[in-house]
Amino acid sequence: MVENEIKTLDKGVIRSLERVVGREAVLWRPEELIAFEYDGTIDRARPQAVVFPTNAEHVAEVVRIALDAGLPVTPRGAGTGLSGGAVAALGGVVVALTRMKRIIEVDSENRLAVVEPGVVNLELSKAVASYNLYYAPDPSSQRVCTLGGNVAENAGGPHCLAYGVTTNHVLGLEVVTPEGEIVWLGGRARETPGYDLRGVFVGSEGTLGIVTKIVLRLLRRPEATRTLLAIFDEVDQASAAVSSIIGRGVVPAALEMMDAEVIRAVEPALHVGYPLDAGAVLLIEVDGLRETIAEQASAVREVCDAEGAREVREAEEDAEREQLWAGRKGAIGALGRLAPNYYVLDGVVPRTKLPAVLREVYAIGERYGFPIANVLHAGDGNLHPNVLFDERKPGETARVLQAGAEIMRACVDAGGSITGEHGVGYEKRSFLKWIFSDADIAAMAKVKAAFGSSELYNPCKLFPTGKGCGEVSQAQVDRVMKQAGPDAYI
Amino acid sequence: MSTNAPPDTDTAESALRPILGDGLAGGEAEFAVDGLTPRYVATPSSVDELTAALAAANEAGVAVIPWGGGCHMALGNVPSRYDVALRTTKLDGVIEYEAADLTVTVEAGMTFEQLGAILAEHGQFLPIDAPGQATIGGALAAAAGGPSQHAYGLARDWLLGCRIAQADGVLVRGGGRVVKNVAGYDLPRLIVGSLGTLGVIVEATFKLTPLPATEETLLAVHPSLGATADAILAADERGLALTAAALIDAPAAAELNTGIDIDPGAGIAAYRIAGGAAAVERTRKDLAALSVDSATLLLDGDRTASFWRRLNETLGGVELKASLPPAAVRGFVATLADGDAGAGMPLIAYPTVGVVRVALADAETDEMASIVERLRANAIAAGGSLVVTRAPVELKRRIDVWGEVDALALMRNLKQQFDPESTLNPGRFVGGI
Amino acid sequence: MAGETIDDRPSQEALSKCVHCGFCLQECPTYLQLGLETDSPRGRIHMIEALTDDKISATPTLTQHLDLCLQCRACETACPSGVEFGSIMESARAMIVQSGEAPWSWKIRTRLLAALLPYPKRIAALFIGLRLYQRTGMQWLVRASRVLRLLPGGLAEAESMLPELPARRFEMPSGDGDAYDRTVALLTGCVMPHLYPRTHEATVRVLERNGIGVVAPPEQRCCGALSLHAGDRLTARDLARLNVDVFLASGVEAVIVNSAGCGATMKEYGELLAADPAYAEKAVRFSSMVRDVTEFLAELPIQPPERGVEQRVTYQDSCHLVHGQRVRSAPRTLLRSIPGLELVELEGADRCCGSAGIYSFAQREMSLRLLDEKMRDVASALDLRTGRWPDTGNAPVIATANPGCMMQLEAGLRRHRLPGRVVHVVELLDEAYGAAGG
Repeated sequence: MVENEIKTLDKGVIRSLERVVGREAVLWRPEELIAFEYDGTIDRARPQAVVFPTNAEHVAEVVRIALDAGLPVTPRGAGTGLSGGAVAALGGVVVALTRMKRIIEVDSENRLAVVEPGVVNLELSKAVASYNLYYAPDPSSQRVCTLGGNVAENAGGPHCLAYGVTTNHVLGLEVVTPEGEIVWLGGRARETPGYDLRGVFVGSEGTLGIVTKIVLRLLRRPEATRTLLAIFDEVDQASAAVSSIIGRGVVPAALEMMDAEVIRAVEPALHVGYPLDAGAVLLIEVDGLRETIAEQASAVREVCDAEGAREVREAEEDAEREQLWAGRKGAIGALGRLAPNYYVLDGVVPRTKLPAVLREVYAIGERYGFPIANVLHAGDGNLHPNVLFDERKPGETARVLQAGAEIMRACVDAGGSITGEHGVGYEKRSFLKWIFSDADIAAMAKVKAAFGSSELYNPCKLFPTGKGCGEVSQAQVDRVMKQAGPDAYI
Repeated sequence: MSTNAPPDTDTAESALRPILGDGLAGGEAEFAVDGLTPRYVATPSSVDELTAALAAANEAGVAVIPWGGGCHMALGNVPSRYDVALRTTKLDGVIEYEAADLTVTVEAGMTFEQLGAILAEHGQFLPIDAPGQATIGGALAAAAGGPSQHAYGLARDWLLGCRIAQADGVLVRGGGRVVKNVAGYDLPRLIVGSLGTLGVIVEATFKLTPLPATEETLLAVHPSLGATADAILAADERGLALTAAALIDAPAAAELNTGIDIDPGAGIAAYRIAGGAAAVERTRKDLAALSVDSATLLLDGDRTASFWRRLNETLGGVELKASLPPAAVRGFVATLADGDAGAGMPLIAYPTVGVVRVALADAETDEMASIVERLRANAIAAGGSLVVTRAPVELKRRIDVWGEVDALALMRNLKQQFDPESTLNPGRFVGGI
Repeated sequence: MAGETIDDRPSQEALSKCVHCGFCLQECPTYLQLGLETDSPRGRIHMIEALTDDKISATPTLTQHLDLCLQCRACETACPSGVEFGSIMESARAMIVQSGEAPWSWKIRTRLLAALLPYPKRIAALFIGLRLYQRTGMQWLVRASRVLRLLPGGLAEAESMLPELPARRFEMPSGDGDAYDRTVALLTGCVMPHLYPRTHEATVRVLERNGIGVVAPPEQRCCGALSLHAGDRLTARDLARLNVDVFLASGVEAVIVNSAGCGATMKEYGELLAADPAYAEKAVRFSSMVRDVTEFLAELPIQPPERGVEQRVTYQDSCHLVHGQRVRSAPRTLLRSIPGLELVELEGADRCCGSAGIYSFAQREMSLRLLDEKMRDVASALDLRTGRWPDTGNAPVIATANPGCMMQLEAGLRRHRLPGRVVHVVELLDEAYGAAGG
């Protein structure tokens, strides 16, 4: 919760906004604004108005009106983000891009598409399927999350192991800068002369501008795909298998892991065939040339057997494959069945450190008395520990945040990062100092300044400090740092 | 501080000598850029020395051009000032190599040859096409790349993190050492291809990939460049086990000494086949079926490596590189074949990724300038761009080697933020940055 | 029973199951149309939660967002967390109705429904009137004179929804129930006997053809779904108790429903009457006997139809069958078992057609937006615009599993001047068995 002095938004501003986008595209009544106070995580803050523009010019005008009135601006896609990125931390105007959802162009010859930011990730793949193409980054929320949000967060997903995250697939962007200018970054070719502004914009979490058009690379569908489910009695065996597969030089298209707690949530909900008594399962997919994946699949089987897999199953047909994946993609949502709330974390560690870090994660859970359910993009060393709790119990949320901070600390101490795909957002900005020095952060601030971004522009995101952003979890963070010792990192 | 007037010798000397001692030498022609020879060549022996020297130079208004292997110095506009060449060659250590994680962190003065040898011991490599003598830092600054991007993408896709010395000497780090990381702005991507105008790269962390089990190269002759491009795109549609595919015209083929005869006007499709034995076998068969009317030649693994290394070397003379949407390559190449660039000049293209490299016939500066402008207009019309990657100073003074770019105002802001005194590589980048 | 006071408000437990992951958004027909969080399941849950916490009040703006919900429950199918959205929305509306803060339109409609649904004679009288209106030429006159334009709001449009009413109402044939080893009871429902007697007739014939005797206890009443959805849980409970008693007393093995909306409601009587000690257990027992006709037939399994139906058919899932009851494959299995029938999958088959009970009257504009989109998909699935139909020359068929959907889709065909006919799945089976009609 953010408590702050918020500038009041007068009727005049609302009228100006309505003049740009139309009356029905501006929401300002409290009972409506309450539906915009959250995203996919636990942070909450209510905007003072939500605007639904339909083109770049409108976005630019809205941004200028808000800034002229001294109101913060926060962009929002589908609101499925997991770091509080779409939360209007200081109130102000939320620019919701869900109505800009046209697929403007599909250029199958050049394997690219031009889309508006509100297009839903999976809808693009559906729209280009008839060309035998698809869009590779596949966050678990791909059925609902928008491509604009994906660009802002540099979203990942299971198949990013082999195909790369969002930034590897963005060729060009039309953006409205924080000062309300419309500019193009990148283009339709792989390289453009000059600084790679496109590259720095992707993953900037909406702090450098609002994307209004995206040129995306599409990939040709692979000739063949094979999906394996390796079942282990112990988590340790599974995480060791991950490290061995990569160490052996096999890079599968996806290499996912789910532990017993996750299986316990997923299986009753979705009936996908994960054994309820397993310690962990690995979901492994290889795709490409038939001959290549035959080699990879047998290597994967060998490794899993050697690491003590109880069983390695292979999906025989598409329907079975989709089942196995449905379990993975619905995993985090299904946790709602185990507890009223969960706190999703997003740490990254070197793959060889996975077994040790996972042990540490469980130990932290035990210490705090919280069950922790782990879903991992294991092949990338990207963990999603989910701390299960009940926010209605007094004091529980604070303790969850602290347990979360300790887990993040464990990732950092292992040489990793505080986020692999969810972004720093509102939630983890205090952790940024664990992996970056003041000078590093100052360099990022230079980029922000170059884009003309002000304190009011998507405030309290990514950067650890900000005017009026409060120090909500700083005390807890400091305490954890103290426990870890001063020379733990950097 | 205004730094339009060149500093006198004593300024650079007095700023740098106390820091570098013997590491500061007089300038030599070897370090000339576009005909400008620096007064000094600075060779710091540690990162600390480098940052101190840079800070002092910045303070004193001394213009610095970072210098790695010197392989990409032809790139860029003519420097507006050039006092000191700052060599990174002594910063060439391995910081951390965790083979099982497929990641490596090295100092930026290490050469690709050095790094390749270290990685090969573990059956791994960094799939960025760069000359063996190029340093890591230099190749990143110049966004080096070549035909391997067909399978492996660009340099920016392999750089996980880096440390740079900013113009004021302050060291900053971007990215990290793990393969997936979205914490903070992606500074590494901003640095790749920035031609050393935002900072001097001193350290880089890469992800790595296993060396393919087997490799070979198939060359197939097609009657025209258009037919060659079509053949390559058709092969690409099949998703075969290829790590590179190149179109080579007759003059380029002659220079490469491919060992296969072709007529003027014809083209060679070169395929780098890599992977497990079964995949290589299947790919070779499929390609043979696609090239059934062509003369073909198969190069074994050893010859494959050297063939593609030579392919990536400079074509000589005035060299241009167009980056296009892939489907535009055929048309762009056709206009060149019509004699626009002067017939009989070497041309190499990577149709699957949209790159065309071509050398221009020697001609009057005016004529060359107008050819460049015409080809650039073609590239832009096709949705791409054209960069002059090598040219004599006279031509560089007539044209902007980068062409016009979008969002130049933002780029100027960036430069202003990171290097307000214009200490680093002044004038060489886009829009005179 | 009247005058009981049960505090109908969504429980904290039910609400807290939502972890606002947003997976429901793209399954929600109104969110897809408007792109507004306020018209999405997640947004509605969040607003309802705020309402139960007294953080906001039931303003007209809020009730309009809640009213725009079709209660199609597609979000439940999408929800990985198991949120029972239908129940939350029903209790939220009940809470607002019971609080007295409901808008006048809600009050009027709950009262109208309460005055009509429990009384078969009043329903019959209403349909006699409507039939007269159609038959005497008055409809023609009214339409031609444009009098309808003078009517308030949706009424004029609503009039166009009405299908041509059959000349007779459904009467349960006085067959020989004892001739069968197994017996089931048929829910005849409130409007079905008047609107689609042919569906009931086909249901009875198909069941009997498969060796199942059918009874229709005359004391049964409307299932209460319409009142329940509108927020009048009191009327719904009265009807539920009555039906529980009637059907349990009939001694059948199953209660067969061919109206998906009613089936979904009756399968949830257990929850509706959970707080009623006298009925809680009986209601659960009753609910476990309820089967949709397609579900029941597919489980039998049926005798293979011999005559066949040479037609191209597409199937529109009825929301309360696919989402409310999670019956997805049974109707398709039945259709595929019919020789000669070509089943074409409809793009977005499990997305609501906009009917949603009284929604097509109450939220006319949104209902039509959804219908228009649905008809576009239907037209492309069945090639309705090109007229390239299978060799039989028969106009293609839209099959579905609920009278509301049938009415809406028929209106869609009329509205877009498209050929084709709309039937219940069981009617096609009936035709395939060589029955009269078709």
